[in-house]
Amino acid sequence: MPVIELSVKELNALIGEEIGVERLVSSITKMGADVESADEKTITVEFFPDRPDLLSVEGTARALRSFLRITPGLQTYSLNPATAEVTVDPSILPIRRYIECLVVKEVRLNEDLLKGLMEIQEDLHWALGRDRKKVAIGVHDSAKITPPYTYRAAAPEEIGFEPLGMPGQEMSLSRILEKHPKGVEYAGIISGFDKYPVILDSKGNVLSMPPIINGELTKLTVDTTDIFVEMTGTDARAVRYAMNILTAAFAEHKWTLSTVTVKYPDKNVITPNLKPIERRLSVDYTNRMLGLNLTPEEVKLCLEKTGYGAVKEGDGLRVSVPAYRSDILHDIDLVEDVAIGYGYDRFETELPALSTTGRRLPAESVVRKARRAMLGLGFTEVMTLMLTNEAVNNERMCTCDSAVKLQNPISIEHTIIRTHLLPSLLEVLYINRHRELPQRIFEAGDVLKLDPDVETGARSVWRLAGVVVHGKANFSEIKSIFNAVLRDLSIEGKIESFEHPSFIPGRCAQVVGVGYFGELHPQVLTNFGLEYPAVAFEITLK
Amino acid sequence: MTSMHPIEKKILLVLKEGETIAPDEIASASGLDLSSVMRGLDWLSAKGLVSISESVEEYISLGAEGVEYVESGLPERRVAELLKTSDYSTNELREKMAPALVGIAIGWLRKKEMADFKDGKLRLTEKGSQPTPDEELLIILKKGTVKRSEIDPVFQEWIKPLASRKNVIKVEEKISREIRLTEKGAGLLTNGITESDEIGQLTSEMLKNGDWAGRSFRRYDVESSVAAQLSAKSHPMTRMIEEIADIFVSMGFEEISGPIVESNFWNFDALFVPQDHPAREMQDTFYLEKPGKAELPSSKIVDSVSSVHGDGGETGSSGWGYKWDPHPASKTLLRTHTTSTTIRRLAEGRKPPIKVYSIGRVFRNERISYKHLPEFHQIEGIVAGDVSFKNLLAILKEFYGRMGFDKIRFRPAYFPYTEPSLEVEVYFEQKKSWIELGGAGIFRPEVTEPLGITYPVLAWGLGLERLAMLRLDLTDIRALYRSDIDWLRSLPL
Repeated sequence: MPVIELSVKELNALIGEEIGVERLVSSITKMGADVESADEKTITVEFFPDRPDLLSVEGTARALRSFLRITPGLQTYSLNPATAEVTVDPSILPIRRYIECLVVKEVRLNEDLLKGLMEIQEDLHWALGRDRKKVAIGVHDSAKITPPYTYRAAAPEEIGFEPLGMPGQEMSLSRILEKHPKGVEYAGIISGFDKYPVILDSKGNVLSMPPIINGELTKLTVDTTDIFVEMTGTDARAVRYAMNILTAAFAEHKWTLSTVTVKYPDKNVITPNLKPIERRLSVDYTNRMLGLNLTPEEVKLCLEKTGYGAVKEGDGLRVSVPAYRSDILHDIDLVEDVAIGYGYDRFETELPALSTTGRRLPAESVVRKARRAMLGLGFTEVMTLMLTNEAVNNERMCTCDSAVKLQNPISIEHTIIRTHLLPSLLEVLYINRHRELPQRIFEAGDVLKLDPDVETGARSVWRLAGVVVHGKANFSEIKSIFNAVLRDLSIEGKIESFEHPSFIPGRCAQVVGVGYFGELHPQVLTNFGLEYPAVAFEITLK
Repeated sequence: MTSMHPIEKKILLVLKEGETIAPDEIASASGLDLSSVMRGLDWLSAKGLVSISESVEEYISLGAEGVEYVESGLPERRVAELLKTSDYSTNELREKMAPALVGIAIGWLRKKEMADFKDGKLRLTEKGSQPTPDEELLIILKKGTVKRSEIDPVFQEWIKPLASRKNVIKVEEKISREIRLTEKGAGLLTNGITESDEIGQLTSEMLKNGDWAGRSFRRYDVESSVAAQLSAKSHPMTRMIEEIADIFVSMGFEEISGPIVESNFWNFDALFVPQDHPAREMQDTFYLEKPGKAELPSSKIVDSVSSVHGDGGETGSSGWGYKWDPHPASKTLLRTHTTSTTIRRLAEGRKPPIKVYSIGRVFRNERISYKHLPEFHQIEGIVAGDVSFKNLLAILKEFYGRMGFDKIRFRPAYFPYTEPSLEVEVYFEQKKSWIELGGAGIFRPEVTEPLGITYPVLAWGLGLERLAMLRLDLTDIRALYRSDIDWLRSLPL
């Protein structure tokens, strides 16, 4: 999740009041974020991924102004009417059809603001852009370029420009994809097309090659006063929210903002559009979900504290949702903000009056019984991971069970799910090889068996396995243990000779449908690095 | 005073005032075995009847190589013998002796100034033709182990270089103990000690023939130490699972379980997690090669989940605004949370009120470290019916309270499938700090309504391992699954 560093000084400047660090931290926590650390200068916060609008010092300051009731309610920002135009060429529509643009004037930048601007772009690319697939952002020094602009697709070798970070090196579009670090990183998004997106000015200068890289020409510096922002993407909603969030952040600096006319082949659209979205919220629904008894006026105050506009309308409220709130999908999202505005710490709690009876799983009672039996026999319980690998589960055991297999294992240690318990027990014996003998350990747990008749293709089976290791461990010892376990678990069956590859031939037996026991084969013991005889059993619990 | 154990008496009878004696001497004089003597001395010294002074002494003996060198000479001596007849270059020597030995020999010849190089050839010095002290020391050691303090000072400085050579000599530390009667002990001895008729071990014989009647029982020192006994135990995680299950059951919850191999559908889609959500990516979730595909539920459920992702369906939500693709939904994975199990239960269409819990293993694509395991346990509970956020907070207070956390607080949080969501923090007395111990919320309507559920569903979950680490005071999560037998058996129940 995105972590950002907020400068206390900048935050207070944007809030317009001096708020102490302690109060800032407690308010940010109550608004819904993890404060990781804080000192007099910097507050480090992990915001939740559903709130990209908070991922900047500007966004946080705006939310705090409402939450601290300095300026509660909807924050409005004004935009000057469009003068610039972008023409969307039909060639781009199948590749990356949406674009929104913004013109910013009277900008005053410094190193901190430049850095912040980079960070908010990165965060938006991550949170809304899904790594630039859905949205890619380009911010340009517009003094270097001349509107109107064109957004179109160009053949790989048709156009060349100096990509950002490589001044003096004009490269073709295909070369950028091959050679520029950003080209290599993001090539996958557009490499399936025979043409690539570009944005050009009226003189044919390349502003950017979305979603890969901007041109060196329009690079921002601390001296930049005029900015042109373009956001392109494949998801209209994501592009819109990303643009609205960045626009609202710029507006916090009181810079002069103007819309841009985007001329699609079939229509003209003025971007960005900061008009709030109107929703109707039922006060009754809100109270029912929260278990509160708030008046419409109280709900209104809670909403205003969390940055909404609200007016009473009938038995509910008409709520103006800011255009940068990408997380409001349903009324329940407003209800959560009412709860946050009210304060989680203010809720009087009350247990529900629901009459139900409790019970354990029937399978659990068998497992509990098995544990009691083993503890009574002086076995210590161990717990191991279900994740294992072929070498441990099969090769060392001389077995060849078919197991649930991972497609993307993270290590060679963990590539399959165990099909029996004994291998992990032998691994535990190895870990304890320097501990005092005799050792008696057991595990009761589930294993997975592939089963095409089951809906998910695999079935959990509860198993119990025990192993005893010491200098004179032998068949009679494990047989008497096995008998005791069957007796304790009321399992009946006839013991008969059994050939199991993990055990010494002639010293292994089974009860059909229950399990097996015997003296482990010296090869198996050696495979696990064990130097004392060991006897073991494993049964299925039903 | 406590009456004396026969062992103690036997030891005291061997001791003489003003003399010191070693434990093995006591053993042979008293007829006791050495371990009984040691035990008895422990008790006697605790009573202040004897004093034990310990000193560490080094003993030196020949090692395996040393034995051989005594016979055939140190490598440098063997070369020195050759040099008596002529000077040799290193290469020439290599032809006459094992090359490995030549290397060792030349090193020591130069260190001991027995030879030097001239014109690329090794030449014997005057010193070199005489036996060196370390050689003499080896001959002394041939007779057997020698106390270091008894070795002539001339040889002392040669012990270290010899010890630095592999297996030439062994230097072992031995603790020697000298026992002396204290004044109190001597006084007791003067008063006379006899082996009395007191009963030590009560025997079956005595009970049968009544021999014990009229005799006194020796009083034992009940404070003396005994051998440690470690009992067989259940695993601490099992004990915590049982404790938590008891809490749930006593609060009226029914236990449920569900598949570990899950479909994308139940693990993510049914929980309104969009198909391009980062949590679904390979670096977070284990997908399966075998089995590769799971069956999807009825088309009624699949269709409504599909439309809720798209435009919100009938739920009043705007949805995520994309076209849901049924193809990846049947892909199999190892469940990343037990919420897939609770949501399956909800989809069964039972009538409220529903109160269920589950405790099960979940899997995340995490590299093993002291903080993370790719597999861990999740504890989850849901309550469905005529309930609200206020009730959720109360249930959490009750639940965590029963687990021993009396101080609890809530703050806003985000989970893709609950709204409102919250994080539970409990005050952990031992660490004097607030600790995040789980998430909770009300299932989003986009989750419940496609399954035909029209009432609110409260849900919460916590990680078992985190709790176990707090309770057991562990800093490394791996210790939980390492199953060190001594650790397991020494933990209190």
